[in-house]
Amino acid sequence: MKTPFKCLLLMLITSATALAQRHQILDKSVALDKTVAVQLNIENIYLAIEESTDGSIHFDYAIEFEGYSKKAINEKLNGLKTDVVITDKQVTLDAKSLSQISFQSFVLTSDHGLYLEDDFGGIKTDTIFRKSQDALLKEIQKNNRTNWPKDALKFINGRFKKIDKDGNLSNIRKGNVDIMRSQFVIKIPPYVKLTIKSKNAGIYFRNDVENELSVNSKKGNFKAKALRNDLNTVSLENLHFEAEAITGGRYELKNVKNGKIGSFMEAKITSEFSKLEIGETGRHAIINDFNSEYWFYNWADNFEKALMTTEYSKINLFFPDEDSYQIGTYGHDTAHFYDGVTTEISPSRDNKSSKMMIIGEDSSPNKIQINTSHGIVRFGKNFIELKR
Amino acid sequence: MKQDIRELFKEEEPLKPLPDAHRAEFLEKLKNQPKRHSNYMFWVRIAAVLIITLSIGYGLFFQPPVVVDSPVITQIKAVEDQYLKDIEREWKQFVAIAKDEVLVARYKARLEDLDADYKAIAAEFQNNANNIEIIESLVENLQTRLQILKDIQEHIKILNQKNEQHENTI
Repeated sequence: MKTPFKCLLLMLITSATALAQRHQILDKSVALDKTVAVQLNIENIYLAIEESTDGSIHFDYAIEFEGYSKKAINEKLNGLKTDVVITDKQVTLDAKSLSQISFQSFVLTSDHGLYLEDDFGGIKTDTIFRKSQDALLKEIQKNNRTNWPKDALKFINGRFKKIDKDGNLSNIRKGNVDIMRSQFVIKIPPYVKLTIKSKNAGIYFRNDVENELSVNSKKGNFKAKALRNDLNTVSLENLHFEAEAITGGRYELKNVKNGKIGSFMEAKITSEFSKLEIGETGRHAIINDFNSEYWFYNWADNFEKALMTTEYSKINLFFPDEDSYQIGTYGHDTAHFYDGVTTEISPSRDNKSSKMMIIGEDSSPNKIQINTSHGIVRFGKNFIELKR
Repeated sequence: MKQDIRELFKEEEPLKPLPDAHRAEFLEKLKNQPKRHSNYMFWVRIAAVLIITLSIGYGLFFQPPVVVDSPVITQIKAVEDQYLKDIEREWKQFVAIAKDEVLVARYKARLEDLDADYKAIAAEFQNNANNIEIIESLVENLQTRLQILKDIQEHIKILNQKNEQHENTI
């Protein structure tokens, strides 16, 4: 099929311009003790969560409009509802918007043609190279940036171009773009239990978090630094997920796109239809998966045991640095790729599992066990060839 | 001026006898008299004029707008149509090569979820057609559907190529 789509979009003149206007939506602080829990119910809004150091929870929400007409601003603000309810045991924030309010959004206002670069699918490659943990962390940190892009036009021109009747491309000018910037920061003390229920929202943790988390997020973005708590229960569906580190807890990931985890240990992931890169896998990692693709780039010293149970999954696994490890695959109907050699295990008639491949000595202190059916497992030292 | 009223009665002409057809003439005259307009009918007429005027005015100035899609909406519709055709084609190919009914059912459910998401985004797009994030979300949704179908077919093809069982220790 032809690569879809270089599309030409004609934009309409929609609004008169106005000067940038800032509107304070919420500015509230509440003192908390350890017995009080916090619940955030968020819909269609992006927000950042930071650590509070004064024992209070702080809500600070402002929106800035550039180029928007008064009517358009009022429409946005009228569609936005925020409410903070305080009881003896819980502080609850309800924040909902009729239309999505991300950290920065653009509306094109001129009638010129628009050339949309087809880069949604990313670059296809035949070779996967091992990434260092630091390299993956840099990617995660870049995507969890604190500030808005300094040059909005540079950002937008990186994705779109103006196109004239003859097909000539040129940059979009400032007068052709309305910009809405949202800054919603919630500062939470490190000891309170935090429950998040979100839909089509952006949840960005800007500090390492040791709070007990209960998260249920559908659509949007969920980005974090370190999430450390054995009691964490995190359910993410149909969104972009990145975390610098995960220690402890249970994670349910459905259709996670471009998932990136800097390091992962003593935690369990149950996943399906997802793509996840893991910079370093540490002790006692457990993964149950259906039809996802995983990249395990590095292994911590003394990771002891990693257990994966997978079906229709693709596992791309780079060997640990030290020699003291053993990798075993068990199951049936699975193709193994290593160093140009393909080892193929046929389906079992009664779906019985059997030992398929063992790499390393049984006496090794660190073991990776992969239970797989209908799977593809690729191994590599520094790179993995995807073509057979 | 003083006057004896008895003289007045003397001067009065004697009463004329009524004609024989006086009753019929009276009725005829009565019939031909112009009808007196009542207030009630007057206001009914005013109201009728107002109603007619307002109706014509409403028809002229408040006709329901003719719905014409913006060029962006038309363009995205074309993109959508192309993708949906490709997705349908890939789905048929996938069902043809997949032997696992559970796998097919899970993909069907997955695609239905994505389709429901698409409809929600498309509704927002109708109200906010120039928003770049919404346009990207629409295209990303369609591409995801197409890509997962291609990926699983590639996966199945790799699995179907093998025909012997090995147990290796390296």
